[in-house]
Amino acid sequence: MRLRPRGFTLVELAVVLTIVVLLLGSLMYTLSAQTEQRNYEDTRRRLEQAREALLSFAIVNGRLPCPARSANTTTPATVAGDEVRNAAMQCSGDSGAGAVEDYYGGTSGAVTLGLVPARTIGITQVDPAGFAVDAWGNRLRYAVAKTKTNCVPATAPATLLDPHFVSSTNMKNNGVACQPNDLLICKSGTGITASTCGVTAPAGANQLMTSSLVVAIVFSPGKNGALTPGVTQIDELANLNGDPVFVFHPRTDSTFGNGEFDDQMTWITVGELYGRLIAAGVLP
Amino acid sequence: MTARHPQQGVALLAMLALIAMGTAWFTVSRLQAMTGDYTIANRNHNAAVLARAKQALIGHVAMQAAKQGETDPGRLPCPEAAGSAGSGLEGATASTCTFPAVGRLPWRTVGIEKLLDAAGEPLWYVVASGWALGANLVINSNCTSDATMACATGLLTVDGVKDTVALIIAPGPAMSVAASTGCTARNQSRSAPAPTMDARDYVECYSTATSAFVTAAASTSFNDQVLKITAAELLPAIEAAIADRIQHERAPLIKSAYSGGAWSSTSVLPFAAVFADPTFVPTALAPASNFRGVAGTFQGLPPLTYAFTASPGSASACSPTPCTPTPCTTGSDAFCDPGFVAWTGGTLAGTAGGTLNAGTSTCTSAGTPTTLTCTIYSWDLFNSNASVTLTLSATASNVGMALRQINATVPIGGLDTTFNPPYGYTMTAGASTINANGSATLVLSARVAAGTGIPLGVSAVCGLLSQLLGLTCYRRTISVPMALLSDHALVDPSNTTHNWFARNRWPQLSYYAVAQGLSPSPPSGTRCCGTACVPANANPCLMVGYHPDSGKQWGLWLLGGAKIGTQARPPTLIGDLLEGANADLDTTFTLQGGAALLPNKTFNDRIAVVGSN
Repeated sequence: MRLRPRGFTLVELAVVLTIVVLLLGSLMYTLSAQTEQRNYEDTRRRLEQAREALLSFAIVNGRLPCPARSANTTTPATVAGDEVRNAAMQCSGDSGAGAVEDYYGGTSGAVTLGLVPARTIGITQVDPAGFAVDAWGNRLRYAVAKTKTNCVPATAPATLLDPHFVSSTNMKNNGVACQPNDLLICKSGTGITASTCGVTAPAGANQLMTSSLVVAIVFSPGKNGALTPGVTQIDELANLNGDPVFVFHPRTDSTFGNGEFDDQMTWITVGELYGRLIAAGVLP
Repeated sequence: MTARHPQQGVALLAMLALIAMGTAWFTVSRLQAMTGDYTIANRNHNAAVLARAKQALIGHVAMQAAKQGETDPGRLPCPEAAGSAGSGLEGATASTCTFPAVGRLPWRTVGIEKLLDAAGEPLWYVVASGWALGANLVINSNCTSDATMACATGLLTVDGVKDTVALIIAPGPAMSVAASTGCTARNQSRSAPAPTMDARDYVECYSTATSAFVTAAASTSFNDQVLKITAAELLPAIEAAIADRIQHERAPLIKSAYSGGAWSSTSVLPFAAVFADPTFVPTALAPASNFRGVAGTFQGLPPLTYAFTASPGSASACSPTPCTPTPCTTGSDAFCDPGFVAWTGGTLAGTAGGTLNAGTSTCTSAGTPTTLTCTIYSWDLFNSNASVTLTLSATASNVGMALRQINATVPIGGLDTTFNPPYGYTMTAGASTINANGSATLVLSARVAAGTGIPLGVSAVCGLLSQLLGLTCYRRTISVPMALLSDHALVDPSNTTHNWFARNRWPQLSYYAVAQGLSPSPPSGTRCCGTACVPANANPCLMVGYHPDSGKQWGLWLLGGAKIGTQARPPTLIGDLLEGANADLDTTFTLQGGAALLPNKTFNDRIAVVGSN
């Protein structure tokens, strides 16, 4: 008797295929999660590098740089990745109609303000235009303190000079008793104003870092940074609205009350800045 | 046909066994290497966060020390308050601590992120007893391991060396600590809620009794990664902050101490004291003379003596005015010297009312502190015992060898207090001067009341004219307390804005220099220096190398910094305190060490400029 040629039945094949798909699926999932994690850590590293580069710039130049902006300016003449700082040592330059001041980021027309001045501080991981980017290709943001407090008037000139942190001569004149007075980091965007973390009781409960400590903030808008933040993304919007009040908390997804939040942030405290400048002999 | 050998498959089995063993060996060795990589990565991560925390902490101390109103400059923050972990106050420092203070790093006070170690634990922090609030602090450049100072006894002993002010610790995962040398057995448990958090569940192998810590121990007893901050590492940052405070808070006050207001508008800086061992112990009789200025001395120790327990500008100054400050007790403090600035005499001139006979009206001084007693002889045409408005020019010695302020709220005995009530006198604006010998002449306008003179009949002491006219001569006495020249706020021991300087014994590290032209006795006779003189450079200014305005300085306040190399502390020679061009007793100073000094780190002086053109 001739044996009937035996193959796999359709049922068997289906079972095998299902198993293969399941295996592949779980593998792919792990892979994408790993990629995500790697990007997250890579961004963290880039922020740390930017922080270090800013401090190194400060040691060499005796001051912090001003932020860059997405469009070149003619006065002062800047190209992509340059700090925008005018002759009066203020973080200001022309942008379309007239001069626009830029310490805290935000936008002016179609121009994005408050970018990390990659060219000025020597960061090489940049996008084709020349701006420092995170692992997802979104541009890193930078804000620097404009105002100061707790200064003791100097001998000569007897008046305190502004701006403090972006001018080496003023910083030397005003002395190391001066603390910043504007950049605030809040725990949540709920209830914040353009200058406070809100008045939710107890006082200061929503404040992560007081304004007298933070001289500069560097942050990545995260993976979703390329998207226009939706109206529900209260916390992310607070970081891009151009005021000195920022929000930072651990990552949350879109089911979170204040919307998805994936910004990564680091900052320079006034003690770190003065400590480095004193150690380098730049101050006092 | 040959018979086929039966296949037994031994070779295949052997090969399989070989491959299995090889794979197993490879896997195990890889695993081991991976664990090693993992450990190294963890240690690197911990090292990075510890270093960041250390830098931020040192910077925070410097910034805090530079703040006006900080009475313990150089102090470190206490650890996070027990019980605030997990609460809204997490990361904030406790206001005082019990020593040795072991707790979580107060990251929010320092201003950094909540840094975590590789095991996901927040960093821990230990601060020594001489360096945070909760103890009486004395912090200055001599607070290194070999100094015999209060601050040095408050250091932590780490690995047997007593040189550490603080430790930052990555606690690692909880472990079962085995008993070993210096380590007590403990099964660490970290599930307890924050208020009961026990430091021994995080930090291993330390002794609170001896403030002794380690950076390494048997691996079965220890898994912390420890970074220490030594006094020597922290002090340069503190010195910078103190120099900044001298420049911003003290220098402007010294510059204006003897000019403006009642003083002449021409700037003048006091003489220096002769340099000698500046060591002093507060609350004990010490060489107070060390801080007495000397006429003709243009550099040395700063003039810091005082005479009263509280002076205007201090919250404990006497009140309500008019009132006289209480003199300090000689020997109660290194700087107390109530007899140093003393009245030496005075002249009187009548300006209105009865006629004052300047020839016979004289002043004498007596007591410690001195009181100037002036006797006034006057007469008037109507024999009416009329009031006399007069100008008194009183001279006090050693004012230019100390720091004093005119205190026009003290009562002068014998005056008509309805004149500029309630005092009876006013200081004449711009008329008081520091003389070339360092004495000061104070000019005030006062009035003695009508009817208060003692009639002497017709007397020669009122002059010939009064005798010829047969008019009655009247005698009055006024007494001027020494407190008319009270202590300057900078030397006033009760002035809480400024007394941190002496309390932390920074005078022991101070050196003061004044340009001869700005001293009480300028060579050209006119107080000026450099291009401000006519003709220019009649008196030279001080030079400060590397200063953008070098060659224009009136006076300098130098801080010697911690001892370097063979320098002796306490310093008996200027070279024990200062380095390089600053120690050669000429008028040229420098902000930085020269080519030979910088690379060898043999220069740590700091300079604050007291006035410049």
